[in-house]
Amino acid sequence: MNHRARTLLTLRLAALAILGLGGMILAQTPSISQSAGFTVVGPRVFPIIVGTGCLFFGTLFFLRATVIPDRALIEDIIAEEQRTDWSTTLLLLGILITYAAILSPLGYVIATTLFFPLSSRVLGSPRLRRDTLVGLVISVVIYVTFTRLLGVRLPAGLLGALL
Amino acid sequence: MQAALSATTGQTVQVYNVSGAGGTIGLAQFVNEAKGKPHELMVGGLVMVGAIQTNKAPVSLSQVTPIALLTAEAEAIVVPADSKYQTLQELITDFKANPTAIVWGGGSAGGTDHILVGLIAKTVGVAPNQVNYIAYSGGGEATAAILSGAVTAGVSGVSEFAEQVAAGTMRMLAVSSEQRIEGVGAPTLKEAGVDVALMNWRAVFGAPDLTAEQRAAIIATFAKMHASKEWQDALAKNGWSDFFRTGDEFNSFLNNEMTRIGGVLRDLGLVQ
Amino acid sequence: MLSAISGFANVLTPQYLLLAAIGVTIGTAIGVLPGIGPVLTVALLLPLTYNFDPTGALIMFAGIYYGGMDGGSTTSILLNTPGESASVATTFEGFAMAKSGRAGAALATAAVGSFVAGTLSPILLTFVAPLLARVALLFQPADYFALTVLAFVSVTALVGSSVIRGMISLFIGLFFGLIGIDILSGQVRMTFGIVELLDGIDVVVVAVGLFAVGEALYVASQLRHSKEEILSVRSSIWMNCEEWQRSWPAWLRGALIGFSLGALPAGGAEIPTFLSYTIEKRLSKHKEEWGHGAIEGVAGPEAANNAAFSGVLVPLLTLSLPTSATAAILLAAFQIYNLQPGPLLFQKAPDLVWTLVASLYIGNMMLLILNLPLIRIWVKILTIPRPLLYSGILVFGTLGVYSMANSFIDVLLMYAIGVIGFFMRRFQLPVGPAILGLILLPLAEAQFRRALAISQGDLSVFVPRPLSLGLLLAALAALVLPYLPALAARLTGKQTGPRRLVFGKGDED
Repeated sequence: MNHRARTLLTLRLAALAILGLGGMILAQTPSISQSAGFTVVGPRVFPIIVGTGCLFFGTLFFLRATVIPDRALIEDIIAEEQRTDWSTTLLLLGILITYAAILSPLGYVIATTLFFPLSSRVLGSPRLRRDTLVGLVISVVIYVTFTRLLGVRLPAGLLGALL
Repeated sequence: MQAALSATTGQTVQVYNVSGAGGTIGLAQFVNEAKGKPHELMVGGLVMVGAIQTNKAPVSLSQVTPIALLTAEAEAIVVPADSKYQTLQELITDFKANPTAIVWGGGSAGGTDHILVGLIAKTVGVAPNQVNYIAYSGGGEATAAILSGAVTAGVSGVSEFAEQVAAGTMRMLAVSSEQRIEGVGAPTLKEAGVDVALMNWRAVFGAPDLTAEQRAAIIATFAKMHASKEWQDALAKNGWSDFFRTGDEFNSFLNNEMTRIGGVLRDLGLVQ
Repeated sequence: MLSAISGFANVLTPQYLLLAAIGVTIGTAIGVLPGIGPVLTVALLLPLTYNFDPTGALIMFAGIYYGGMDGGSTTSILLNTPGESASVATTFEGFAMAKSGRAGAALATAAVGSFVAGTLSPILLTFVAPLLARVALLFQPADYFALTVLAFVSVTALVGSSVIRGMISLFIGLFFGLIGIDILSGQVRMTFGIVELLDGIDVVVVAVGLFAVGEALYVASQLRHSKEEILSVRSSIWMNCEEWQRSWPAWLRGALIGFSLGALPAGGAEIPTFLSYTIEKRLSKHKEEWGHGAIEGVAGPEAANNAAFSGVLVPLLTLSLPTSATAAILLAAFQIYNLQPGPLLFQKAPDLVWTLVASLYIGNMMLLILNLPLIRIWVKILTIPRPLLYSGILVFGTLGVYSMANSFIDVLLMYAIGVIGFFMRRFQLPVGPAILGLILLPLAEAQFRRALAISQGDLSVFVPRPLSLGLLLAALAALVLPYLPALAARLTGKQTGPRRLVFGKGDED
């Protein structure tokens, strides 16, 4: 598949996603219970409006990606697609999700000290050792400031006894 | 309460605010995480009783250990100063004649204010589906709505309206306590001919699965706190009235409230 | 008027002066850094509210907000990357000036212009807000609803290159706004059985997701092709006689545009900056310089974005209507203290309001010092390596959302919204309408339903009130306005320029 076809496909998929969102909202609406008190406009009305709006503008968006193409937009996206580095993006997303998952079990300081240099590496920083040090300093400073000064609870994790 | 409790126990007391959904989210966390830990406590009240039922929460107050009732506040019914209603009776007469024309404004749906309006409707014989209640997200928003004349009558805690009533921009028609409140001119609902009393109470609960000894120890701590000067000062400062009850007295009170509130919420259609 | 003066007396206490100084300093720093904005910063510092009195905390938060507007100009001029979305318009002429060696003059006109606007607009606020507060007491649900409609329409019709894409963004935001417990009926909507969603999606989660995480993912995706050079400031940071003469009318116009459009519920500071840019370009006597560094093109927008902050405070303080993500967080800060902005705020807490307003004057003086003599320190911040900067932004963003409720679900939700933000950027869907949709949907819906409950179902409740009618007509005007020039051209038989006017890129924050 060439760039152009692939870009057009992603744009159409985006429009379909909006249509899907509209459909999902409308499908969810009947499960909202109606209150038995005196109500003129119940809790289902706005979901119906929002769902219908998604379907309407999603359809228009889809038309601009198919029958009456929005050429300026499509050229822009094609140019951007050629510059896009998908593996880096996905890798960064994976690291982020892992970070969120280990925050509580490993504790804030350890998780952040691991996350910071890895994320910097993925984003193109060549100096792993310096970044690890920076990550450690940042996480300790944040942990102490937030738990001691601001009174916000952050997970201590494995270092629970130490901190 | 943090200050009073830590002065009583001589230890620092940490407070975590778990906001959200009338306390249901906090309760769910508490039930799951604090099980059997005697040092974890939770504050909840009438609002939570209602929210658990309306939100179809997967947890309930019967899973935690009741410790002590702490405070209670009466509700007040007010109208703007230029309203034609001088007394509660006049308001109720019109309410019975043309229910939906009386627009009640107050706090969130299923909250204390809504419950009170539901109880009043039930008592005076108005069908719940004729109650035109408009929920606002808080007392401040409701106050603005009452003053703008958007709603006929406002319902909220007595302290919420005190300032406006003193300034003469609102008129208090009735309070929801059993007895008249000192310094407040309005009659009780019962005096005004509506046989309803409702207090917005707050209580402290211990973790699920506590032993009898653990429970007794915590109750003792709170009895001590209740007697402390710090606590009495805090009550005065915040305008809370004392409602201290522990043990079986609290248990039976809690059970009664859960049944009564559940009934009203079902009538109002908030709980299926 | 008396309380306005006592506000000045209050703000001159050491504690408040210090908090204002801290606020504008933090604000300038985060303004200089791309990707980290006032929303995230104020959200991170929200726990401070438990330790400070409300006046002190709000003085600091306000300082962060307008300090960020100032800091953003530095990045726009030297890096050609807007530090804040409200500084996008500044990049056009500002970077061109810097390239031709006039960075000093550009930075100076931005700093002095912000100061002029930052001094004038609180004066307007001082007179307009109490008046509006009195009118606002008469606002009924129907009027509030009309006001939110005006906000929705103006932000989608005036911002962005395509109305369709603006509307799609708005509806994505409206969908987020539906999630949680419906305030009027107490019923649960669109939570898919997730307990954490009962309370709705916090604006912090959405704003940090769309802006910070979306931006970081975007940077990662374009890594192979990004090259950035920071232009150095060689010349002295001052203006010559001619530059002064050309700057001051632009400052005054910018301040006026910024304040008035900020006060209309149209989503904050971005529209006024673009409008100011467009107007300066039309009025300029030096048309040949545009694109090569016309100083008016920096002076106008920079005055406008600073004045817009005072403008945004008008609906926030008098109507409790937040028109940008940061304003929504300021509203949350008020509510933590059990203070409800709205018509009654001016009666209930006049001290707080006027001390806050007075702090705007003082804070602006501090900003002038931060931005003229000390500018070289801020330029240093720009030398932080990009990978570390974006990793840091992700750490702070995660911290901001996690610390709200210690919830893993919230963090995952923010990342998911970050992915949505990434694709919205790619398909050129403006982010501003989504944020506004999320903030205002609950308000618009509640007021619409209240209006009909009060009228017992009579739809004409929206018509006989002159206030509602006027606002709804204004919404219609905003929808039509962008097409007027093209329409006029067609009627007179000339075919010129673009089909509709565009006032911004739509990444308001």
